[in-house]
Amino acid sequence: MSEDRRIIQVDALARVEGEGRFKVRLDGDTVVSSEFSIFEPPRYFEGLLRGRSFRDAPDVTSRICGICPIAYIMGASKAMEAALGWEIPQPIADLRRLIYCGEWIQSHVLHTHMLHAPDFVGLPDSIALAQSNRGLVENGLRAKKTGNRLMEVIGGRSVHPVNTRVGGFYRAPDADQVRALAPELTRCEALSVSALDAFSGFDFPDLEVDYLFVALRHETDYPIAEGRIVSSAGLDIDVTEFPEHFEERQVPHSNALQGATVDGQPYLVGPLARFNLNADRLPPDILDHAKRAGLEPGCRNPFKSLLARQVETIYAFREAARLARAYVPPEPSFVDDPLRAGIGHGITEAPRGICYHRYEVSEDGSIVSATIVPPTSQNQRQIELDLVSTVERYHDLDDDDLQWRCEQAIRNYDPCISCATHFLKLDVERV
Amino acid sequence: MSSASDAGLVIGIGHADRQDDGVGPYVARALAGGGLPAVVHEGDGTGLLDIWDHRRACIVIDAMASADPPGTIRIFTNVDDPGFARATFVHSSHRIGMPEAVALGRALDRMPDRLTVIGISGCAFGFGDVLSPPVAAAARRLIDHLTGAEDAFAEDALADFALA
Repeated sequence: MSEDRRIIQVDALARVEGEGRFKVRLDGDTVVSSEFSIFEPPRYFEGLLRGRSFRDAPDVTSRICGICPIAYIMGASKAMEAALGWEIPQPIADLRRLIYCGEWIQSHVLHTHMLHAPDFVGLPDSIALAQSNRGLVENGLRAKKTGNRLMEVIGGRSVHPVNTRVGGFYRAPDADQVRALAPELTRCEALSVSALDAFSGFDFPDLEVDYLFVALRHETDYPIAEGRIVSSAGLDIDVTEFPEHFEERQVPHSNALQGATVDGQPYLVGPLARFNLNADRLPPDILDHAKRAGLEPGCRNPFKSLLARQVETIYAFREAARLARAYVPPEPSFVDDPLRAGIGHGITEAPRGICYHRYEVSEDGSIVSATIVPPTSQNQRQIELDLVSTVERYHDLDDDDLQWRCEQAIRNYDPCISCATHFLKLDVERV
Repeated sequence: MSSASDAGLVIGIGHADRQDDGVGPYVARALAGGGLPAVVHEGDGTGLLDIWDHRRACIVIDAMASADPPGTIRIFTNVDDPGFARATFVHSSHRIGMPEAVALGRALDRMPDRLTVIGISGCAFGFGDVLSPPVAAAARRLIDHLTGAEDAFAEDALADFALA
């Protein structure tokens, strides 16, 4: 092995959900191959659903992830409602948007404050960050607690909420309890602006990647649970057309399927894609916060996904406070119209990007087939390519620093490997 | 029957549908059924700080993946104990588990006045809500001991508890 042939290995990447492996072979300053391997056994959720009642899909699929259960609950519910032809009244849709804000908040804040921020200040973890910047971590925990509380009040509990169902909610949350959340939500919005200011002082690596961004886009609102699928290449389609434009492919080195466009192009979903495709849907003052922090629409620096996540946190607090103040319990709290056979598609913006569900149901409401495409599967190929870009850009770093930078690049995605289906190790081999 | 302090709380953590990882929730639910203040905590470890904050005494029960025989119980009354290590409690969301929560709680001054961590060595972490026989037996002994204690949150409540 020449001096140019080095091996850098991380046995388990920290501060992500789930575990996996990455291996890159580097010849001088050129990456000759890269593999992002997810080798934990498949979880068979789609097979598990076949033959079960359509009513089971939200609760079963929510178990895919303890961090983003609402994404699965809402995606499954919307797909089932589309299959059954059920129309959801606006008050129920508003309540769904409100609980979804809670999930964005708790998921984003956990990642930005506890998992990703330490990377940018040369600290190993949130414990060291708490020792050096106690206020930032305290405020993050307060914000996260508020997001969790929002999910508890509406969903019954913050992890795997139990009050949601196809058609709406089993019980409309108490109006006084929901409205009482508004003041703390507004206070946390202000704390989140302060955190964005703190993050804006970080030293962001200057990597630029030519992404194909894909996200939902709504007529008037920043997208959470509604919208058409759009891309930075001009795509603008209904959610029912997802399978005609995107697909999942099996690769030999991973148990999780990798997403790509039907012509094989990798793409990026998540906060940076949402921001770039929907910046004009943000309230002007929040967009100003983003710009002041160094996040301009069109940003292609994956490390600035931290800023995009924090801007979305500010927005989620603003939107949640608005919805909480305006909340009137929907009556009835759910739709339960007659059944029919059909096929339905549902897409919402999970914290990590669009999450696609498709179900076919029979006349008695049993599930004939199920397809779920989580965001980390869609991002998986792009993660590999980001690591190639990172290693090529920073190949002159020593092994420890290059390994650190690679881990940081992976954490740009807040990857939920458990959703995609698990285990990350990092090997960089210089040949 | 115990007469727990109103400032005391048992917290069971783990995943109830991953066999022995569910021993914490199993014990907590049984204790709550017996009248002790006890809750199940799911999700990442940062939520523990909100539960611990300002309490006089907390008992946390969690599964361990250790070299000990299955069903072995370890009681940590001092989180500086070398055995209370990151590798002991390995199953956590985003790797913010018990040791990280303790370290974070100490950094932010959000620990309870007195924290007791009870780890139970598991051997099965697959799918299912049934504990393995040695872990179920250990859980039963722990439940019997705490429900039979005069004050489950007293400093010496676990002093005479047999660990295996």
